[in-house]
Amino acid sequence: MGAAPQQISPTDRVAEFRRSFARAESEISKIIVGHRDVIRKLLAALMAGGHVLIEGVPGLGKTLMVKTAAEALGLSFKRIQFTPDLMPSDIIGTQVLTETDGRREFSFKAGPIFAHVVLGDEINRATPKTQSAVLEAMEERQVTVFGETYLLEPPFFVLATQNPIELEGTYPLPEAQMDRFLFKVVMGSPKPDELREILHRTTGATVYHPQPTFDPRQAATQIEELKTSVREVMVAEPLERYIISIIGAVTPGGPGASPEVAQYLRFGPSPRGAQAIILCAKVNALLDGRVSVSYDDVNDAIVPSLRHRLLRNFQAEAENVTPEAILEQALKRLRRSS
Amino acid sequence: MTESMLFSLLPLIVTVAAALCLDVLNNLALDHLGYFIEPARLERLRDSFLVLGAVELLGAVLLALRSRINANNFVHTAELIDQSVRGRQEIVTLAALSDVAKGPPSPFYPVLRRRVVSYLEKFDPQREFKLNLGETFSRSSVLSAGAAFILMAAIIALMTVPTPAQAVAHRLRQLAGSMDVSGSGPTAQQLAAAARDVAKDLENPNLPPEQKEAELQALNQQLDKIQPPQASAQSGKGTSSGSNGNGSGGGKGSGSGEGAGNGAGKSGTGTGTGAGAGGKGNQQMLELRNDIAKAQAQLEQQAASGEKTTTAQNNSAKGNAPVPQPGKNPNASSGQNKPNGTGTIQLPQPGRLASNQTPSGQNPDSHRSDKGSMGDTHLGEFPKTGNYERYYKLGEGGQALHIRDARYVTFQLPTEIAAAAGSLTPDQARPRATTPYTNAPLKQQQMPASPDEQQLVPPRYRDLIR
Repeated sequence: MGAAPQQISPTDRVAEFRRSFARAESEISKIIVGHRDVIRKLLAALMAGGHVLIEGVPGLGKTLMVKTAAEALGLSFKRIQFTPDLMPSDIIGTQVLTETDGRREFSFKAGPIFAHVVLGDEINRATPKTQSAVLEAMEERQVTVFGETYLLEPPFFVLATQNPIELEGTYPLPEAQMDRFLFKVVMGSPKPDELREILHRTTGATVYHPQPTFDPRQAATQIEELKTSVREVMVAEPLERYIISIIGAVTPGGPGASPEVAQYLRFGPSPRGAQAIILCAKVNALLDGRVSVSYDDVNDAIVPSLRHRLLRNFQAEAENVTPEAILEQALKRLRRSS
Repeated sequence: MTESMLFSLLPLIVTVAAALCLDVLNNLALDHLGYFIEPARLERLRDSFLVLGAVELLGAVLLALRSRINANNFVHTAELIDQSVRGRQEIVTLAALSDVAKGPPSPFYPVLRRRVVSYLEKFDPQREFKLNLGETFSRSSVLSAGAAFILMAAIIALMTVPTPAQAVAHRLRQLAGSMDVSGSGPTAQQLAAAARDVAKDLENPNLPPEQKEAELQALNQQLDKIQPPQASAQSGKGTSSGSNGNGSGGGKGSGSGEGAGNGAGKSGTGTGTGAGAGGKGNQQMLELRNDIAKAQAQLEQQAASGEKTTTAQNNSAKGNAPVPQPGKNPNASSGQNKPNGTGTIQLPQPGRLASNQTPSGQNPDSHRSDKGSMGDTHLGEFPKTGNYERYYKLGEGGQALHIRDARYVTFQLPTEIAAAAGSLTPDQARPRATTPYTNAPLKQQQMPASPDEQQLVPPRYRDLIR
């Protein structure tokens, strides 16, 4: 496992990716009942080098899932509970006056953002100023304090949660900041069988702990190697054109956009949306043992990659037209035309 | 490419066949159904069909061209192979990224190549890309059926009931065509040319009826020279009863074979000209003679009606004479019978009811004020019908007003009346309301019953009646 990518064959690298991914999934599933798709998307975003916004009502296990994922991957984990009085320095750290050998000097006290996996719990409860501090770190993978820049150690992976209810006193994330998340996954309520299993696991005497997939000392390196494998998956030109046509189909006034898109959307996805689709499709291809992207891989990546990038207008919100419905309709139209 | 061409072939054949068979279809429709397409329309329809066929041919060529271009497209061919072997776009990826000059696009490229080779080992082009004629023709037949339906609909939409003159012209062309085909002698050729000329003149609306009639008469004589009417079948006897401007007639033919006769009468006492053929006679010639007789009668009628009224003549000259429309005017007067009037035999014509015929040259409104009379039979007068006014029946003149349960009805008299040159002038003679009228309900009249009419309610009904 710790060998450099050049020393092992491409076939073995594909096999190693599938094995590591499956093991991490399995370890997380030992704690989290159900939500297989959410777990897969979460790990896919990690392998693609992106961040994930998880939306769900309280009590579904969002925080537990992220914490378990960090443990299962053998990565360092920090949790930030976002509140309205949280300041940026509480997250990224600040300079503090210290005395060393009789000399007083400022030294940097790193905040909780300096970890491999950072959970931003209820991110929409913090003020936009604090949100911006986190989102800047997500994009740049570095923070600057008093003119000093500090790099965040890879793999830097932010999982933010937000609650779709109790919106009073919250600061909804601006669209520009939502765009920074590779995926937005929605956690639904557990099914009856899953709920029974949750009850067994959480109210019994046995406490489950996930086994780390990677050696914690080498986890970051190994995950970076897997991320490199993802980037090396090939995409043919017809598939690139297909992804571009998808972006056009859900952009008001874009080529192939339906009248519904113009009716319900103010803005379509940015190029980051297309990047997210391709990266997720590449992960899907590797998980299937292939080294090239297929149409199915792309189709599977569309909804989580684009649902938070469609900016609905007032009419869509008033008529409760969801981004998923708009995406589904646009894709149907696209398939018919092609 | 072959499939694309074959796909377009069937609709093309249907369209061209329809264009070529239009004459035959037209003749069959006239012979069996009594409908036909006018020659000018027929020509336009045939041209339209041929243009449609050319468009279909162009479409077929474009489809074939596109198939050929796609066949030479490396990536597109790879996509087709991908679909046939369920390669999940691995073959197309290899094809799209196989630029040797650029080198391998990814360290995973050898893996991809190995996977594609394993797919292609199972791929048999002969099996996967075989020519599927059945499916092609089945898809094409649906398109062809649609095309045939549209063409038939167009043909049916353009069909009309021919006038006798048009029927004669059509039959003359048929006769001329059959003479051309049989190729019998110069006399027949001359007759064919003459028949075509007469047919052309008959359909010319600018020619006077007298000239058309004369041409028909001349043609009839030519026909008599070639095929004299048989004695057994030609004796015709016409009887007619005419009226001033309107008449009815019937012809009788008698002979040893089957015969048909038509009569044309004038001034009450008709003189008939009959044409008949024996049971084994030339059916086509017989029908032609019949049609000629009908057309002559119609032309005669037109000529007679043209002499009656100057207005009608003028209108006829302009070619816009008002034609009475059946069922349009409920107050229109019917024709007046006069025993000694000059009449022309009005032959029954398809689609025109006798009750709707208004005498030519007469203004339907001229007898509007006629009161009618019982007539003096001693003087040979017949009872004369009164010209009555009647209102529209329910549903005849639009949506009826239901005022049965209305408390009150308000209506407004027109403030302006029509004047000359289509303008409107204020109506000075319009009655004025002397009392104010509103849309308010009428006041309920409380008429107290007189003591004589007062009646005590029986005790058992007192609780019920209030």
